[in-house]
Amino acid sequence: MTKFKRIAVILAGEFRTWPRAAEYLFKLFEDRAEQVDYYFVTWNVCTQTGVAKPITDHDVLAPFQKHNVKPYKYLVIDPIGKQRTTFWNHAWLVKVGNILKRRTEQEEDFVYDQVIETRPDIYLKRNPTSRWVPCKDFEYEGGRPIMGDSNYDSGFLTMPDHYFRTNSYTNDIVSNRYSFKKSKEHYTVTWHVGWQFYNHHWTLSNYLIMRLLKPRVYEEGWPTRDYKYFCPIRPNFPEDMNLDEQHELHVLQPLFDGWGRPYDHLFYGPQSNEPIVDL
Amino acid sequence: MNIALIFHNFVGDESTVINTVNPVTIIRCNTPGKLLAFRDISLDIDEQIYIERKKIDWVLYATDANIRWDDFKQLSKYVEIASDTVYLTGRNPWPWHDGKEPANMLGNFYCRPHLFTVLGSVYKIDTEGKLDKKSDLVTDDITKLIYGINRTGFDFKNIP
Repeated sequence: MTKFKRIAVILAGEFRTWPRAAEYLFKLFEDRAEQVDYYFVTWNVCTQTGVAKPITDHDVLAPFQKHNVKPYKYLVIDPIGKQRTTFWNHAWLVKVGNILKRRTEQEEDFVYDQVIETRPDIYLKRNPTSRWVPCKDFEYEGGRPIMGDSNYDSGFLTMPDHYFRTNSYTNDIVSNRYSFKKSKEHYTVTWHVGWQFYNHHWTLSNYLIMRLLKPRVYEEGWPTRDYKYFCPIRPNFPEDMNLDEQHELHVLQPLFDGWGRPYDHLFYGPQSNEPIVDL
Repeated sequence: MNIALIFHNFVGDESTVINTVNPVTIIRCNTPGKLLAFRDISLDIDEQIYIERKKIDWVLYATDANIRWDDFKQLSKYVEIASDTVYLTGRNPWPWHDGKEPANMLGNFYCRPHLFTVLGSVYKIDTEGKLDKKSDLVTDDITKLIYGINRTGFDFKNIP
């Protein structure tokens, strides 16, 4: 397994279940490099349980302290309002994480060997056969081959949006995606005829293809993926459950599916009536 | 229009450009090399937009007062916010040089802020064995920038 000199892990997204996910995220990255620098960016409010829960610096730092890890830089920021879809809310946070990383590279006059962008609420199961082959310019680890019903018309287009590993240059490109917007007319008309073209996976795939980036998975295949399984950790996951000991498809997946999306109509969720601010 | 005005090793009277453009922010950079200068400038622009929440929808990079402001104003009405094109102020013949120095293939230009991010990261690209410079007409830095623009799917053109 490759061990890098210095990597950046950018944790960007809604706060959600960060206290639960932290343990497993730190475990995934702990032996991947001589130095692992964590960057954390989130909104100062979390709405996952249907109420607007304020998020403070203390909330962000507590899981780091519990696991004896120090964040390199972090920011807790005001929301930016409802966007066309939550793809753009997430893209804003990812961009801020990237800026913090780039400022470190400038101040300390170096370039990270690899950069991982992921979310603070994600469970990623370690893959014992993973080799973490270094991604070169314009390559990324994070896509997946078309599987089963995940075809072009399902809206998925091979791209999950929860994990990217790249080199530092390609991270600057991938994290620049807030700017990727089509015309207002395109959005308005397309939204009414088919949602797939504005979901995260379609938008992200469109962006990555336009930027001529290449997924490594198509060369290496499934067994060498950085992680063996993923799912977002939802509030209904039992507090005392060791996720590494659970069957992915029989236990974790049903828990994730069981939570559903009960609050999409609230706050800046996709079904809310808040006016969109970027049009 | 909300313009970030960049002065990089500017030669001439800054005030004429400032009074013409009326920018929302001015960034002065004296870093000698273009690649690291773009790194520093792009960080400043991105921090102003994404952390300070300043509204910036265009960037003007200027090394002299030839900015073709009236022509750009006409053009800008038709350029989408997600435009992937660097608009050069250009002059004929292009690429322009005086025979004593390499051609300034970029010169002054306008672009959307997200494009400047890309220019600011070009210094990281490993171009070993990838550049096939056809002549000594251009510097290595300019060659690398043009490689970066093309390889990432962007475009550049002279303002008509």
